[in-house]
Amino acid sequence: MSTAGGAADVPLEALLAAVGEGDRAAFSALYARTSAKLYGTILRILPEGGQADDALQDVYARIWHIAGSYDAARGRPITWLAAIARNRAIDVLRKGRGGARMVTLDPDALAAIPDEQVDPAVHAALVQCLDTLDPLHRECILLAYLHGASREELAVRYDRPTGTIKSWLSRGLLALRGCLSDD
Amino acid sequence: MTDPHDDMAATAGEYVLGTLDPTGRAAFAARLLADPAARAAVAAWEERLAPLLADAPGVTPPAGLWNGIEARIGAAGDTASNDNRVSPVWRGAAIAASLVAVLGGTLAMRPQPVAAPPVLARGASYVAAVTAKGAEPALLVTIDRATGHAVVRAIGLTAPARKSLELWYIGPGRDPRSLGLVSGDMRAEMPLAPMLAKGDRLGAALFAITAEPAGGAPAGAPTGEILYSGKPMMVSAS
Repeated sequence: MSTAGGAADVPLEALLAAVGEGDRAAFSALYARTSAKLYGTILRILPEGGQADDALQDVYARIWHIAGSYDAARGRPITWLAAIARNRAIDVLRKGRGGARMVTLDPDALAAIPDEQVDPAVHAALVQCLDTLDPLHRECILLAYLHGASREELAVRYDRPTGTIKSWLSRGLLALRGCLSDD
Repeated sequence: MTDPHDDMAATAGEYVLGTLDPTGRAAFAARLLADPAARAAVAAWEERLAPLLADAPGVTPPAGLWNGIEARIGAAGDTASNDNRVSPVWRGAAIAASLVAVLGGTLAMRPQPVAAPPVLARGASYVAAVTAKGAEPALLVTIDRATGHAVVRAIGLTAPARKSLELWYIGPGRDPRSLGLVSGDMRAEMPLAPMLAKGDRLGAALFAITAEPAGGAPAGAPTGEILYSGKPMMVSAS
């Protein structure tokens, strides 16, 4: 796998496999291909640069360690990598939290044109199903997923008890799952 | 919402969103170690929601970050081809001095006093706490890279009737290798080096305990379901 890192069109699966074998060129190529996406994802949750920089470094160090455990049966590589990045960002956010932040949703959050790594039909189905949700449930899900909003922050934002927020999130998620499985 | 499947799906969804409270998040993270259905539920949510990340603007990280990452994974000067398949991380761990703090990862997220200080491998460089779903550790494995020895310390392990508990080392992508039977409060030291020499990343490996027919799995491969499991965590050398 020593040449895996060289080519730009090597599938991410192959890069991950090579990284799992300790191939540094593959790791460097993986970083070149994925770091902008992961950094952008982290920055939405940790808008302050310093925290995001640390988190990104942690994330890639972790990827180096666990690349060999990537299992294609559990999702696409970019999804797996993004989950590692989101989890790290949220852990950092929850640990460093002083008071509740005021998070706001970018009104264009869903309008962007999906990049090449997402099937446009899949993206459209998700957007459509989100549209069917109660608007409050949808906003809570998006604020949490995209910006790392906690139950407490959502409770402050909507002036409701955290129990209500939990209920909104649960109902919204289950409705979303139902809608997506209906196609 | 009384359907337990819906409860699990909602909890897994909230785990992915990151909205569980800290206790709930740590408990669910611990559950993921031992519960394939929970892992599948999380993976399904990641896949459902991931298209939203396509909307995140890509941002090129500052140039200096790559050097920091290389520093974190250690062993500068490693060649790209890496014919020597021993993980640089692994080699770095060999330098790890004495054990200062144990129980990284999942356990550290839920502060729980361990009843008695475990007996640790001298100069331990990796520690795995082998736990049931969200429970206190049933067994600790500490690994001294310098000697290639593991010290296994059981904590009140009780086997089901007419069964034996067997401990397995599962290297990333490899078949389980038996480390022998475990029970009660036993303490044993065993050479682990023969199983690790192939460059396994310990951080991606798993220790697991299964219930087997009395005397151990007959064919040297596990037959029972995993009752306890845990990943080795590198112990900070500083």
